[in-house]
Amino acid sequence: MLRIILFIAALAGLSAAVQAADVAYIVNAQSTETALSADDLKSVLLGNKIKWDGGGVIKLAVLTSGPVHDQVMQERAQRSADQFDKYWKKLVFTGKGVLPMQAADDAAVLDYVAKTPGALGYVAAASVTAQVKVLTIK
Amino acid sequence: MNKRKRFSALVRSLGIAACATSAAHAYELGGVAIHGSLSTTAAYSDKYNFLGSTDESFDFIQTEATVNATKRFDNGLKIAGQVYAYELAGYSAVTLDFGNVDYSFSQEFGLRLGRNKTPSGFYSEVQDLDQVRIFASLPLNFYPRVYRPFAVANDGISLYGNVGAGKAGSFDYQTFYGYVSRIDNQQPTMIGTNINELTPNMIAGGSLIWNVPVDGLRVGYSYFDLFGAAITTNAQTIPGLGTTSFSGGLGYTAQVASIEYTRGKWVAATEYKYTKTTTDLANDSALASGFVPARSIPNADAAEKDEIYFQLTYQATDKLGFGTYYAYSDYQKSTIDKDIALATSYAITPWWLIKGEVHFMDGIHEIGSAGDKNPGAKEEKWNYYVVKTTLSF
Repeated sequence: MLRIILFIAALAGLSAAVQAADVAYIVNAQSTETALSADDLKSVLLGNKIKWDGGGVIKLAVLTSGPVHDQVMQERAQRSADQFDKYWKKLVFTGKGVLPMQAADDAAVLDYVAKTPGALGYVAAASVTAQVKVLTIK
Repeated sequence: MNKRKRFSALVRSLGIAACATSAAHAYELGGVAIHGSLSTTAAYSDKYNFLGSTDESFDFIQTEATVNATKRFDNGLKIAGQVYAYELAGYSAVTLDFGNVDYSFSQEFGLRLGRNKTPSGFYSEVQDLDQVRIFASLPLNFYPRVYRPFAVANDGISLYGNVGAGKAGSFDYQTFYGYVSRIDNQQPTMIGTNINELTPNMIAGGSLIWNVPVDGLRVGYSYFDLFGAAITTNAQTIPGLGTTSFSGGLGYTAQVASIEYTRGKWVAATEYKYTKTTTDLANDSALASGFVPARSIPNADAAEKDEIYFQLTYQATDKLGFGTYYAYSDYQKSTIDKDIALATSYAITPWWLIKGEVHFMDGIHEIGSAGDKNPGAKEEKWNYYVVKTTLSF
């Protein structure tokens, strides 16, 4: 019985850790941007805001799955990952948007953001490298 | 199997085979993103031919293929175009669904020039987009497939934007003004409404969506006015007396109020639509004389229409979803149609969907919308079964 309780407690702890995953919003190292409001971030994720305030097109990179993606979608886009995917399909197939770069994992997001001026992406905070700059979300 | 059906079957087979081998990913050529989809729909009815030879037989009533290309330049300018090819109720065409140049000056203000999708309700712009919904078809009478060419897109200008309203949420708006392309005389709508000729006409309107500061809730209103159309029609007089010619103008307005609420895996939606059709025909005396049945004149018996539906969907898993709706259409001068639908959708892979749905219909006002294929139809209650498969990339 004790084993079962410990197992459930461990699962609950793991679940909480996943839910509380630290997310880093990253931009190209050459970017002059240092911060973005939560409203602006939502607008970027939903394709309403396509330009940086300082000029230049925002080139968004999104993960295709995983706990970090789920968390960002829920907290910042107020949608599930599936709803976010469908939302963007609607934009693409009505001529209203260009699908964000879709990355399978943090490494792909980091690589894209590091190489693409104007890029914005998100990864687990622990994955951040010196090749990108972390953006503050206000 | 006649020549047309053999050709359709061949196109379907080749298309599905081609997509199946390559559908998993979108393509990018020189910075141009390319997406597409292919779907085919079969239907069966226990009583009537509706959009095909469905009376007690399964018939492939619709095949659709969509390919779009989008490119955004570093200055923010975007160019996008989409080809939509379809076969519906025996009629086939390849159309430019949209093709526009788009520049967003700011989040609050953007401009599109070219062929733009016409918004009407929450779903008219995505009525061909199977990937985003559980149902194989939107509510049959609310978003009638045969009327698609009238108001799916316009050639002109569109202004759009997203305006923040602080604690009140935000608003998305679109306004548009443009031409509607000429409707082919052989298009199912033209056959169904007995119109011989319909010249290009203008359309103007807009939509406003309030993103309420409650997660998942949005409320919308849209309006458009189709005006300046000229029509000619040869209406059938009472049997044995031949036809009588009419010519004149046709106007059409549509207003839609929409609410959608998403919570977890559930999506609830309701929409109300009021439409008004006005005809200014030069041979009203023939109509008044009673020699011409009202139904044979385009919309003469449906000058005003109120429609509403309530829809609920549940995405049970990543692959499996269920949905139901109840739709009610009131054709104020003739009759009422009701439609209760149950649907399921299953994603075999992320790019391959299959769907099945059943409609329990009460009313037959729209069964002749693609031409009268049910002479003497009187039974109000009938069932309609639909299966559909869609591949996308």
